Amino acid sequence: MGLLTLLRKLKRSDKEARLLILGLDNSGKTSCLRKLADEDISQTTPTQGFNIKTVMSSGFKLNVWDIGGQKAIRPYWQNYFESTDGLVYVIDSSDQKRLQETSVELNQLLEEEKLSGVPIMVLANKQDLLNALSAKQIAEELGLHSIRDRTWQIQACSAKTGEGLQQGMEWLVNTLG
Amino acid sequence: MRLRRFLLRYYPPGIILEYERSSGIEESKTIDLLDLDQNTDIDATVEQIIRHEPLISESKRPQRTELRDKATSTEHSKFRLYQALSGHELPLTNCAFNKSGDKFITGSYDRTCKVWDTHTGRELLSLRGHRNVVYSIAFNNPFGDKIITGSFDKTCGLWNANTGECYYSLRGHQTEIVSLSFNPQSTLIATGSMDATAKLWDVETGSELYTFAGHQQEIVSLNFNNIGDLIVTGSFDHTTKLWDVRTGRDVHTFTGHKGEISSTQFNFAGDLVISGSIDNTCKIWSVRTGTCQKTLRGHQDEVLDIAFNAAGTRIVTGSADCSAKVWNTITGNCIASCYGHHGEISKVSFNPQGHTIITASSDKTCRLWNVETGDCTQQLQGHTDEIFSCAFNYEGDTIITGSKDNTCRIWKSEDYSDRQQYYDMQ
Amino acid sequence: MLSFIRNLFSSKNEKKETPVTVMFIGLDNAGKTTMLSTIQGETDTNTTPTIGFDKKRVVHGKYNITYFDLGGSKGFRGIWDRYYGSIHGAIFVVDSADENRLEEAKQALFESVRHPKFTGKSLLILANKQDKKESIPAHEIAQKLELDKLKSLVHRYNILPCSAIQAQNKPQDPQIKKGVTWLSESIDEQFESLNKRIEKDMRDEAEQAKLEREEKRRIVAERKAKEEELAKAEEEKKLKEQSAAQSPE
Repeated sequence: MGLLTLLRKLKRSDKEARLLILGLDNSGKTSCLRKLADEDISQTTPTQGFNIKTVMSSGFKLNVWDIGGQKAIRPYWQNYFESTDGLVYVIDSSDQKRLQETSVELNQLLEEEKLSGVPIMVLANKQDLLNALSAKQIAEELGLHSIRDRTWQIQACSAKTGEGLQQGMEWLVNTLG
Repeated sequence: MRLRRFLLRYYPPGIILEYERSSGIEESKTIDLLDLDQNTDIDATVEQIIRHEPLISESKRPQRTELRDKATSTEHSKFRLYQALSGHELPLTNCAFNKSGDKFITGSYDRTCKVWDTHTGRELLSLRGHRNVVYSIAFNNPFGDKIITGSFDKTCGLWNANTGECYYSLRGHQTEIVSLSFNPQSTLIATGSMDATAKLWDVETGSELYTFAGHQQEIVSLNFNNIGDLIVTGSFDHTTKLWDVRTGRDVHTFTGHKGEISSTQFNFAGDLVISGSIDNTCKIWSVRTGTCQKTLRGHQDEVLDIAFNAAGTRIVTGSADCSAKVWNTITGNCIASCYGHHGEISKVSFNPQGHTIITASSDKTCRLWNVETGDCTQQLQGHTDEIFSCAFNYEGDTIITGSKDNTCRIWKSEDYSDRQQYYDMQ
Repeated sequence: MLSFIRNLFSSKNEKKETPVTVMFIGLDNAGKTTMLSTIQGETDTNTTPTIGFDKKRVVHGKYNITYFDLGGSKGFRGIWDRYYGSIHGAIFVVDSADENRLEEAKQALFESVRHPKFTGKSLLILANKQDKKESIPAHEIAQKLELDKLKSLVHRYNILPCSAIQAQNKPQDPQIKKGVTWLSESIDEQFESLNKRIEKDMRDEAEQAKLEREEKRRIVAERKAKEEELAKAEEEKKLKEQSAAQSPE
């Protein structure tokens, strides 16, 4: 990749959109991204910094930044807010214990000035697991109905099976394009 | 006239004379010996110098020989990992040594610039204050008492390299600062930004002196020439521009590349500029005429970084095609190709002696190569993710690498020892 | 959310246009999102199923209408009642060519209007997809949906046939604009009382949401503090064990 590539992905361009993938550690951000790029997800390890991928969808170029979600590095999410066109927030639908935690983080993001008005796609991931909450339940738990200042969409998906990811991308491309 | 100090400069070779006129005024004079190499007839050179330079007497012959030997040594020593330093919390961006090599600095996504002791590996300072990635960093070499940090937060910080005190936060750019430099005299700072402008600042007052506007797109590369009267900027708008430091005016625009510029550099003499581009080529430009002297073709993919050797006789290019190539500056011919990396090469540089090239790659390794043959002399392995930056110290016996794996590593040559740089004559 | 409430309640005389909020409801695939895009001026024929929320502002005569577009799938419909408190009126879009689902549409419709935060507001029903061969005319839809029962539940209701999709080079179906005009005028009739009601409902909802957010923050902070305490205790235990091991016998 190199530093030059990082700079190129900072460029603001009409033909490209910049997506940020955020969420708690272990929610499945990197796996979702890899699955979208048709890569093997079995070797995924906790992201210590960030991953960048360019994904083409319906002729539209998406520069996707997948940012590490461990608590210690969550304060640095702000590094990446500038010029973000779309936000993807990934949730581990089976981790009921951390629902409040992820809700708090999401609420904080919604209050960020640099992200004001940016469309959000909530990925209710890990639907392949038996105890996964449905998208509707996740929407309730997160209180998504109180988001009135921007468009949002919730998509049930599984990075393991790939289910739901394409639809999610389609919505994003439609919304951003 | 009386010779007060006789100094040797190794990379590139040269002699610096500090003398006192009969009037008492002190002056200094530099004799460049850029063409000094293995085949130089040292005696003939010495005769010539003595004839033209009354200050240098026969008694300086040993130093002159030493100069030749140092400048032309071709020993390819092996490097070994000295220390792996994990102080940064997020990926590193750039790294740089101070002139004496006893300290180096690293920038990172964790918004800090850290100052490290090369010998102990200890973190001496953590320069905090930036609100976003610290991307570009530099010492004011050769003085080394100041550091500048360019950040995505649109500001540039000027710091005391010893205490960590922040002198100024230079504000004015509209977007990320991605390249910067002190002038050789350490009186000015130049910053290049994604806002398509470069700015000149006064070190003493922290005030903005000029804005170099003219590029149509982001500036990603910026360098001063040796004298410090010209700046070159490379931009995503496919051009490289030359600016006059004193007037702030646009001197030349080097057009010809068919793609974004990735990297630029002046040669030591300051009469040439090279630019690497994603159009797969590197071009050599004349500073005087503003025209393209040579186009170095051969890479199959984007040229991501370029560098001159100390004397300016050779150029190295690193490419996304996973190879590096060495070129003859005068003929434009490719002398050697370095194959072996499995990922794109994002950083290249010569060692100060000029016989070795280092390449940093996305394949998580750095490799050292023989300049004349292109053979790989060593692989520096250990990083667990892409290497974003690498640098040799002035002596050429220490290498630092900065990686996306949040660590930097110090590598030392097997015959690393304290060497005296200057001979002082009192 | 509070600034949203503030913007909504500038009185008629202050601003040039009257701000009004209207919500789209209706089964999935009824054509809500497409309808909204047509009202905006450019029909989007490539929509994806909405499982979320979108809002768009369109000026209509002397009204500045903010439209809420929400997903209508069975699992998602339950979220509609969260928005009733904020709207002046609603547009129920029904797929006139999907006879099999009219019963389901009727149920969804009445569930909405019976909700205390909706009852008494105005409702426009758009019998969409009239461009399709198998579409049922509006008066039949009205019968099948038993719209006459709405009389006691809403301030006013009306049904119009239309097609959100425009044929190439043809102008927008005039029925749509006619419908929006009708709805705006109905809303205008009870504007002041509506505003008062909405103001109260939205304030209550904002309070509730704020409390919920704060509660969550508190729980997370408490948990974090507990974890840190545990970690500290572990550390101390380890140190004690280490020093015990080192002390001479």
